[in-house]
Amino acid sequence: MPNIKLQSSDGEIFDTSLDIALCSLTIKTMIDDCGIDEGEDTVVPLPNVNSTILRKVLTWAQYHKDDPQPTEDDDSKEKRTDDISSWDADFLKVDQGTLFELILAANYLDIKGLLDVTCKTVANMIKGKTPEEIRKTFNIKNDFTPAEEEQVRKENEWCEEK
Amino acid sequence: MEDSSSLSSSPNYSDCSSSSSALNQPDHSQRTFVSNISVNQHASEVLDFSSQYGSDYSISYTALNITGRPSKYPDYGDFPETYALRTYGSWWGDCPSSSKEFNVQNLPSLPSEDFIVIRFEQFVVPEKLIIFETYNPGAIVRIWAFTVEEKWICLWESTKQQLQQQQQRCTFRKSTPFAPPIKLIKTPVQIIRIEFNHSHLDYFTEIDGVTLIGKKCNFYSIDDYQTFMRNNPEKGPILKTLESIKFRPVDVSQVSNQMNNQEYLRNFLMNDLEKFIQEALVLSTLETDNCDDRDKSLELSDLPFDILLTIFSYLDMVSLFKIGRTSKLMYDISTHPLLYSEVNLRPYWHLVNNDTVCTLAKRTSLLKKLDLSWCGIFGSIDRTEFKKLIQQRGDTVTHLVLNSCKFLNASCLDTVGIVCDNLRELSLRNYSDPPIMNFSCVANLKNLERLDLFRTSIETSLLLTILENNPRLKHLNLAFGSIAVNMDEVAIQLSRTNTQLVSIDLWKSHSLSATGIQALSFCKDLEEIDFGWCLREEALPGESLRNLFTRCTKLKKIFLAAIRGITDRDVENIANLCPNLEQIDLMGVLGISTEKCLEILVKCKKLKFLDLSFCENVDGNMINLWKETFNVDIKRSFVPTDFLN
Repeated sequence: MPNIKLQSSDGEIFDTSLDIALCSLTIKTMIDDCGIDEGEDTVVPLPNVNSTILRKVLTWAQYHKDDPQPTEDDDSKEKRTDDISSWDADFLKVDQGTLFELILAANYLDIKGLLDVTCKTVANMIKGKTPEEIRKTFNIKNDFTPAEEEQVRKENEWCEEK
Repeated sequence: MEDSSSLSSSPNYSDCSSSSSALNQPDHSQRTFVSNISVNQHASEVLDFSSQYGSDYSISYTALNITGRPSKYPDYGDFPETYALRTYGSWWGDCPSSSKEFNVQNLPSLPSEDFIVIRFEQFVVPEKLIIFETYNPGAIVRIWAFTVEEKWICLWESTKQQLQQQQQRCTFRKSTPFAPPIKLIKTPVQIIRIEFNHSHLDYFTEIDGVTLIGKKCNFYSIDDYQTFMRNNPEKGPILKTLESIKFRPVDVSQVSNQMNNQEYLRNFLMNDLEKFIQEALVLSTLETDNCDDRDKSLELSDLPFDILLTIFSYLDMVSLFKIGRTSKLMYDISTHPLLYSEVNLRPYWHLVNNDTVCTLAKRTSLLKKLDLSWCGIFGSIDRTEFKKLIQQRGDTVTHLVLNSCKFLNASCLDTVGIVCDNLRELSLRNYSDPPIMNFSCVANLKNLERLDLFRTSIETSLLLTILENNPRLKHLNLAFGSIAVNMDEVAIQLSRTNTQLVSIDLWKSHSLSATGIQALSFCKDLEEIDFGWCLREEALPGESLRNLFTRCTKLKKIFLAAIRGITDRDVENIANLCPNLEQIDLMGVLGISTEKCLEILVKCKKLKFLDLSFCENVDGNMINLWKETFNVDIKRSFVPTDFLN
């Protein structure tokens, strides 16, 4: 496989094997649409991804390059969050800011596998917590008016621990 | 209660906290209605269950067998005197009729597949629960108690590891009583619910009895208790919280011993309360300050709406509700209709009430699939709330699963029949008494592809009309059908109007004869038939079965348990005519030989499952040999030899 050059938002050039870069459907479309030839010294600019995050994305893509293509039919299985591999779990032991940037990058680059596993990781950080614990974990400010707060409290009564 | 006289004669029920060894934590509630006496009770009544092997008017393998003193323990083996569930293993999930679970986010990693609710004679504060599993243990995953305060509390929950250990208890074919370490609660209990997951079991699990041990209470009904509580009012929430954190207004060690609790409290309220509140306030501001100090990196709230929606789509519904309480933005996303197009409330049966249904009615404008199974026990859901939900959201619904919903009645189904024009799958299990299928509006439905009436009674004429109106029907479950339904008539109707039928389950239903089988042979797409315990009056069903096997070449699953008229010739026909066969149940078929069973094993190359339990003329030694030779799971139930004599 030939290589391709990717340029991060802060100007760093990543010389990457094409089959790894192609796990991003965004890059794939750019190459297909722009008719970038193999071996040509073209640089693909990625203005929405900085070098720290791009490096992480490429590490992930390198590890997962031989994964089978996700099938569309098993939607129900995809909604489970207890199937994150230990490699991915280790890989995603990062601060929240980085995790959210990875999500944005996976979304922009259209890498379904990475978007899935990062979103699942965030979901697991929410699961099983009380509203107060969730606020603390994600630094969420309670901006309800007293009347709204009362309405939401009522709606939640059925599932609150008594 | 039967023995109330003996109890009322001993009025000496003092507080148990000091002497009870099981409740070794101090009991602050000082409930004087709890006695010091431990009682052993066997289950006295079955209030509800989702599955049983036997039929209601039989005594073999029915739920009722869980009541009373264990009759077979300590023996181990397959005994009709016990409670057995209808299914085990993955076999019923791997066949053409299996339906996919939706909204799996709500399911715990070890979901409950079946349940039984039992009542005991007297209220007790539970100390120990013993379950006598006399065959294939290891299916119990949760134990719940319904307290006198009308709340469900989970006393014990299994893990996958524990489940494996439980299973291994049967290695030496001895039954060991199962007494999991239950959560010690202080509230009296009379009703226990046991939940099962039997997906990993090798064969049917059987339960001989349940014993509840606990401290006796001196009241006999919830009304008694409520009267008691009115006379002895409960502590308020603040006092309870203070108790739960073992709050003491002043350091006890520094106060003279003569000072009693009331003086402590007075002292605290006069001198220290203000300081305490101020300190609490300072603490909470410190926490918020800490939050502000974080550096300004990307936060959850900064993510775009569609990504937050994707993240939320992985949440179970309770977590979804909880994050909705944190802020306006989170509320807006967590209530988005896209997150409520498939709603499965079965895992929350113990929580769901009218408010849940009412709130969901607001959020489910894109509702497609709804599972309310097991919900509404003991009046937690009103019919009017259910009907409102269906009236508001029912027209888009394609899947409706309402198994064992205690609130459901004929008029609820009437609403379903009028509103749910797009319904494709309807599951109504366990409505044998009182009958709910006597309303004609269900016959309005035109697009049904699945109708599941497992253990549900229905009149023949209504059933025939439903079949006629739903030509696209693919899966029909009439297991344990009522005596009133003539299955031959049903089969003839199916052959006329429902020739796309893929699966039919007539397990333990009545009046099926060779005529019905002959008719069903015109449903050429059939992949699955369950005629277990049917054809009891049919001496020679052979010719009709041969026609069925000849025409329906796609058959993957054939269950013919306990059909007396099955002979070697039928087995030979199956071996020769059913190349796609994957599962076959010949349990209790007496007239078949070792040689013909071998023929099935040899000729049906796709076979995975073969049940030869109680086939007396099939050689057990040969079966053991086949187990090693063929890649087929061959079942032969274990009955101790002295039982057969």
